[in-house]
Formats: sequence, C-alpha cells, structure tokens
Amino acid sequence: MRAAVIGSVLAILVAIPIDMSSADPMPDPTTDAGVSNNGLWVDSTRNGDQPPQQGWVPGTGSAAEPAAGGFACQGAEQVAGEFVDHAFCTADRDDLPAITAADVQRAFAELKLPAGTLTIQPPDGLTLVNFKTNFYTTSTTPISTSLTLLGQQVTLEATPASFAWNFGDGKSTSTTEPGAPYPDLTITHSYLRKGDYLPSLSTTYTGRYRIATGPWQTIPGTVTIDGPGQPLQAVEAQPKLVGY
Amino acid sequence: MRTHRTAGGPPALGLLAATLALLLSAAACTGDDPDPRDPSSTWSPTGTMDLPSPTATEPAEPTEPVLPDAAKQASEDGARAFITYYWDLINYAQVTGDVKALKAASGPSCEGCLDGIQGIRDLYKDGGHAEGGDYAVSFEKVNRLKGSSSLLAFEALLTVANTEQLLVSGDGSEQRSAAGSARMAVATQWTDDSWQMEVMDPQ
Repeated sequence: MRAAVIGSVLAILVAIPIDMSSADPMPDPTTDAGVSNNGLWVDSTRNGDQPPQQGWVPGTGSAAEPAAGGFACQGAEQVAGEFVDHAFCTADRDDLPAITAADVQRAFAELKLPAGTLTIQPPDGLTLVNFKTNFYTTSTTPISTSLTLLGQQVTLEATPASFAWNFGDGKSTSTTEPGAPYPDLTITHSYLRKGDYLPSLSTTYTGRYRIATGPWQTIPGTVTIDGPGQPLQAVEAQPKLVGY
Repeated sequence: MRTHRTAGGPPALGLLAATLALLLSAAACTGDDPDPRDPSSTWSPTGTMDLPSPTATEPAEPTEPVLPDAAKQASEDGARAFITYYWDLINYAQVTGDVKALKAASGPSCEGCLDGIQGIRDLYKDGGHAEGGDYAVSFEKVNRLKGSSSLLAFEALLTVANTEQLLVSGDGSEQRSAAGSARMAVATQWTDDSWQMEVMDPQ
C-alpha cells in the first residue's frame, strides 16, 4: 500500500511539470523574413503589396464580392474628404423613389440635343443639275450630360445612330453612315431639275444612362432632331466657247 | 523485525500523508482521480489551497463582440464607437475565421473591407488559422463628410497598433510577424439606422 501511495505521489509530481510545460500556446518563430508587421487584416487590405514569402499570401485570393459600383445602388454621391474619396450609396433605400426607364426616357426626349451639321459639296449653295452632289455630317460624337432625376444624379449619353437626308426635292434617304467629304462619295444626290432647294439633315439619337456610378443601361426609344434647311441652288451647266 | 519497522512507521507515514494531502488537493482541483489501486485512500479534499485558475493560464475562447449602444447613435460619437467596434470584429474574425458579423458591418462598396474579409477567408478555408495580432485603435482625426442632406458619414484617420501574430497555413507552414502599427483611413456611413464601414484604406 505504501508503495502505491509513493507511486501516486511520484505520478503527480511528474504530471505537474508536464501540464505546466504545455501551457505555452505560441511555438517558436519560424520566420519573419519578408513578412509585413501590420498583421493579417491590414496586409489583406493592401491587396498583396507586401506578400509573405511562403504559404498563404494575404489579399491575393479571388474576390468573391462585387467590386464598387457593381452592386445595386440606385444613386451614389461622390464625396471627397480629407482622407477619403468615395461614392456613398445614398439612394438605394426606401426613402428615395426608384428611377424607372420611363422617367429616363422622358428626360431623354426633353434633352436639348444638337442638330447634326450638314455639309454639302460643292460648297457655297451652288450645285449642278445631274451632278452627284455630296452630303455628309461631322456630328458623330456621343453627347454626355448629367441631370438630377428624383433627387439622384443621372448621366445620359446620346449617340447619333442614324441620319435622314432630306434633299429638298421630295427625295430622301436614311443611313447609319454619316457620309464623307470629297472624294469619298458615300451619300450623294443628283438633282434632275434646276431650282432652289432646302436640303436638311435629321439626326436620330439612341441613348444610354447610368444612375450615379451604376451600370450603363439602354434608354428605350430614340430621339430625332431635325436640322434646318440649307439653301441650295441647282443650275444647269451651259457650254461656252472659251478662246485662249 | 518486520513488525518493529512497521511499528516505527507512523511518524514517517504521517509526513507522507500530509504531503499527499497537499498534492492530492492539487490533483483533485485539476480533475485527476485518486489512485484506484489504493482502496484505503479515503481522504476527502477539503483544503483551501488556491491554484491558478485554468482560465488564467489558457487562452480565453474568443467571443463575438456585441454592438455597443454608443455605436447605435447617428452622431460623431456613434461613428467613433462603431469604428472601434468594427476593429473588435476584425480582431475576433482574425482568430476565429468567423467573418459573418464583419461582413454585415461592411458596406457593399467597401473594397478594403472586402479585401480584408477575403484575406481571412482565404487563410481559414484551407484549414489555416491566426493567433494573436490584435489591433488597438487610436483616432488621429475625425471629420464629418460634407455631402447632400441625406448623407451622414464620417471619415477618420486611425493609427492601428497590432500585436505579434502567428499565421498557420493549411499545410502547417507558419509565418510570424512582429508587433507593428499602421495608419488607416476609414469612413463610415449611417445607413438604414445603423453604421456601415464604407472605406478601409491603408495610408
């Protein structure tokens, strides 16, 4: 029995140091080389500026979340402070009405879009009968404008998509091409009779819009702007004898 | 002779028993059973010896921070309390891999937040984990951001000091980083009756 008691004491005496030695949860350092000292979170937000040398690398995993602007935000407000510059989503909540495509379409139709510039060759309002008179426009650049709809910033972009050429003699044609200056004759018209005409150009715009920094969306419908008529006189060429 | 030696034993046995009592009390506190081979050991532990509490020597289990009432106020103090709470969530998520609350407190356009959350997910998804690395936050400056009347947002420049950290990846490799500090620009916005982190940029 005494041997058993002594055995117990020894067992306890041996057991205690073992328990104490296992209390240290931190193993010895294995490496510091190449590792930033700002911890897991800050290193991850740096998105791999200073990756550790081995094994797992912070911030290099594929982002499972949508990036800024890719989420459903009906309206955002760009605010620059002393330390940050950020688009705050201020309009995806119940207190602000959602902007519908019809709202945008209405605004698009009311836009003051320019008429396309019509250029006629030969210039100076004079052309010949039965001669390929050249027509073209240089108004092909998309026009972007911002406005406020229902308290939210909306950007509209109008692109000249098709052109209706009214030659003033009852004939017209419609193209998606803007034409080209001489000698690239793509849109021409031959006046069959002499006379005074008022050819004009109508430009049809298609549009797209975005709310704040959200994704671009197509505006249903188109807007056509009729340009003013340009006086053009078609004359007959008369043969003349010229002496040298 | 054998009888005589036995008769002379009690004083020695008494000393031994006292030692045993002391040690057994320690053993009892740590949950060890008395030696089952000694049926005569009927001594009951009644000592008052104080041993270090097990919780004092072992790392406490991390508990998820609770949003303090102060962080529920639509004010600068509320924003400050929320930012502090957010870093508590970071500390919790780093050592547990549980990013649910952190994600809920992060705005969908907070890219720095998403990068940080992804970093934690990447570490834990392969069986890795982190130890230490707690951040302590101090505010250098807080400004209200000027925007439309519907915008309530504050930006802050922080100094975050972190303790030493051990990262153990899924394959068992370890990386230790020393204590350090970093400056972070953050912004928080009052959205749907609560604060959300909108910006998390290292400076």
